Amino acid sequence: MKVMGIGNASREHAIAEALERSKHHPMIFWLAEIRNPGIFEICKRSGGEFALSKTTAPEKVASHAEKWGVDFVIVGPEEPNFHGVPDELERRGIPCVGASRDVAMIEMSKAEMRRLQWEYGIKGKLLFKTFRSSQEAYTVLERYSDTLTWLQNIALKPARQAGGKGVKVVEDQQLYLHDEKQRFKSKHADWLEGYMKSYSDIDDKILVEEKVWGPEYTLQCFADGNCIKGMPLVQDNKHAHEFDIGTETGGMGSISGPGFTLPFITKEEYQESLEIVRALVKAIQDKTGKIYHGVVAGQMMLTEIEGPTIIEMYSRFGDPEALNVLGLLKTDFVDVCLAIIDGRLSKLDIEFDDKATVVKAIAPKGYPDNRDLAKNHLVSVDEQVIRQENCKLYWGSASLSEGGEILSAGSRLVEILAMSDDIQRASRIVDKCVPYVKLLDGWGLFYRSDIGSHELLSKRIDIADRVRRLYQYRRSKGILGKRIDWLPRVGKMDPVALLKDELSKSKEGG
Amino acid sequence: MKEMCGVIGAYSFDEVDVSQYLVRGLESLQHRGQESWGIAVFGHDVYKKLGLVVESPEDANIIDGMSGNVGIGHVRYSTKGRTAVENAHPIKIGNFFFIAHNGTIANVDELTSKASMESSIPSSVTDTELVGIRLKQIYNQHKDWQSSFEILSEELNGSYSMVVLTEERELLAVRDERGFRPLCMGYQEETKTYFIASESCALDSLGARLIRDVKPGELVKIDKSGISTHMFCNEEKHAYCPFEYTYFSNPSSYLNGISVYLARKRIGAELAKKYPIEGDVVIPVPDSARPAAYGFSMESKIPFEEGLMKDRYRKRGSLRSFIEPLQKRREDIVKKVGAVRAIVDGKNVIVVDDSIVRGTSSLIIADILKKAGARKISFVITFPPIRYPCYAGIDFPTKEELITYRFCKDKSDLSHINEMVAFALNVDFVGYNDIGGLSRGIGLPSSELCLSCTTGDYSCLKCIPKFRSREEMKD
Repeated sequence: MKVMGIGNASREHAIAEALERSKHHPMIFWLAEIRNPGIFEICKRSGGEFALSKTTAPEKVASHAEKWGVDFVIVGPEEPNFHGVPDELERRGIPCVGASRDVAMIEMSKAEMRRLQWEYGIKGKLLFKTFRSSQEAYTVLERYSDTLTWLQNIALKPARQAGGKGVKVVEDQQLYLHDEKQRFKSKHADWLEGYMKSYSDIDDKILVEEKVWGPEYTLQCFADGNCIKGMPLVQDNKHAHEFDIGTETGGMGSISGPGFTLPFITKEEYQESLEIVRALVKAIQDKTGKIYHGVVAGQMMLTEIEGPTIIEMYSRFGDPEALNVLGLLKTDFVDVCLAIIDGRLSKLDIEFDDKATVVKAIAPKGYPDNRDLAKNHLVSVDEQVIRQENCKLYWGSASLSEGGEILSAGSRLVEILAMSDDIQRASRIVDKCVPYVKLLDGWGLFYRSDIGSHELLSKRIDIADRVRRLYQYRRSKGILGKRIDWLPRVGKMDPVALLKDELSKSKEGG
Repeated sequence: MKEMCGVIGAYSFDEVDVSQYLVRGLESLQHRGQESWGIAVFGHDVYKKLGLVVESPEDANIIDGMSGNVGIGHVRYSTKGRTAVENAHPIKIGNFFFIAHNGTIANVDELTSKASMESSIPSSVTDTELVGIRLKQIYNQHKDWQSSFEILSEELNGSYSMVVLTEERELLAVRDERGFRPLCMGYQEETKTYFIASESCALDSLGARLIRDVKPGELVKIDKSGISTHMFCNEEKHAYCPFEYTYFSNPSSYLNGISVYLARKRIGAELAKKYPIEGDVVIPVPDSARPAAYGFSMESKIPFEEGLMKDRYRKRGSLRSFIEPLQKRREDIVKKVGAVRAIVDGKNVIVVDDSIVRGTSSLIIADILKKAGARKISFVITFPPIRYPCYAGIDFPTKEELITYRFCKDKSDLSHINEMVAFALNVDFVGYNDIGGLSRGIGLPSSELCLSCTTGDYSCLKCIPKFRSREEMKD
């Protein structure tokens, strides 16, 4: 059997490794934009091939797949989905595990995803407003800043999935900083407009959502068009430094288990989250008439206003979340892929190890704000020690030179996975491996020792308890998901008012 | 050259202009210094003013124009009679190197002779300026901040919590190895800004989250590659200033992870256990002793009342008397305190205050209470007797001016001091805290505290300072 994968990062290394574990012993072929040392090695070992190519060009990807004569393709990152790589493969009769362009819209356009959610009345919604320019955003924010109070505390986001960058939460609560906050909002809106210039595939540029708080978690699922099967929940830690300090990154590490839930998420919340993801996939299939087959994930948050709430959707595995679940997956991953392709997912029993997992990323200093500083450092890893500790190392932003040297490429360099009976133990095992990853020129590396620690876990449990009490109270009073806004002299305001023209935008578009 | 101040520093990774944040932060550190303030933002000259952090339209214009993502700020209270804007911080060294300092350097002469071997030092140099000059001299040789501070900390004797803005757009924060003065760091999510501040209350006002205290002997460096910390000195014995807990800091702040408010409240409870005296009401001297009075009242079951009112609305009404450099004006501020006759009249009053230094304020308060009809007055004091001057950043006068010295000389017996001070203030009872009660209340072992002002043991400083007259110390 021949299988082909697409993508360069740790997530793809984990996918390649899960394929390699299969009893089908597939030959593994790969397309990537940099030479990931881990994937390169697996391709070589399995008798397959590794090639450098643009991964978002459907024609190029499909001709590689034809040339190699692969049985199916699995897509790692989101951009190939947005560019229609799965569509082109299928047009040429090559099966693909990856969301096709139309259904991947739930990730690509955060604005369309929200419209779909409101249109189909799917739970876990947030108030939102979209803009096509920063000027428009600023005008509306200014005009309504006193009348629609939810617009004071907001998340400003790019309307399109843009590598997880550019999300900014702004709270305007101190009067003495009000001018600063307004200035800051407009500055970020300008930045977003500039940032979105490089994306021509979407009309909405800026998305504003009501600010929410609570613990976040990722629910990744397999989808074959008829059936959606959830995997164990994973919680990613976005901040660069210990105790959620510093710039948000692609993810500095993640935890899961033991079992399908997290220490701060209940079974019921898991079920509700799964229903939300199911409903959303059903809605996009209904809206587009297309089948969703591949991986889908809900980036969720437990909020006081809605309970389990969608923050964003993924049309693929999360990174690093993929490492946790694929590490636990007991069922043959090739069998899972084949079931997705054939629409037999409901008949396949997908099993996961009942263990806790912790993944931690290690990145060179400079990441994420000044990636140039994090680039081109020679890397050395003592893989033997890491194996002895029963950990797995996944290469991320690293490139293997022709001469066999490994150079850092500016983002998260490696991710290390450990499995154990509980999260804290797994965390300590990863920490032991960290010193064995080094940059030979002495440039600093950093990671988060606190991920999976007792302190951080208790903090999450604490926050989750507070949010849970609030949303359950709202549910008991029948006001879950309802927003009430009241102003002196004006009376009750309808916070959903702005949404009406948002939803009509969807109908024009649809 | 002694000063008690507040410092702040900011570094935004979002390229947000930090000047407004610095000014707002300084406003919430105003209780640490009300004499002058200043900010320095990368790429601009320093801006300094006398008085409170209030902006005239002219100030606002200039501050608005100070665009830059890195900067430092300072509020100052000094003991110098004459207050000059050139003594305000941040101090500029060379072109674009700024330093703001909270603390006192005790070995200025020694440091001057070291520094003058490499360049000429003006005779009017202040301790902070001297530290800055010396730091630059060392850095120019070693080109590395950690080793520079390793060397500098060996040379320095005294207390320093500092923020430094360098020519290379770096923000440095350092705290001396004993940790006399507080310093903490925080992070504000939305603008991706790291803050360094004397107290966590400044972080709260900026919507930033307290990360932790800067450790004694730690250098925190923030530059474009991110935030990093280095220990330049590992000193196991610390000397945290207990006066920060009882008086100086804002009750909403956390120092060493300890809530200042709760520390004061616990100290009050300790006092009630130590002195089970009779009384009808417990009243605080506003404002710093209020949590201690609550604590005393809860432990003793004697009702808490507000028997003294501070007139906050009058000009200068919100000023703190302690940090007023001129004695006459200090009394002026205390006179803005009035008694609530309905609470005090005919009562046996227990007054809780944080400290007695010269005794002048306590005399006035006793007088006010008597005139309002108090039948009996007992003072309980959360800080042990202040018997010696401070060389680590608090403006206590020379020992000749201290009420304890004037009436008890070098006698250290607490009940004797209580009696003599009660006699001096002409009140019925005075009960000072002791070191045990203070350290239990704060929640730190006494070995972690600097207690030199009550014990006269200056071993937490590297050398024993010469006792000089107040005038000498000031200039």
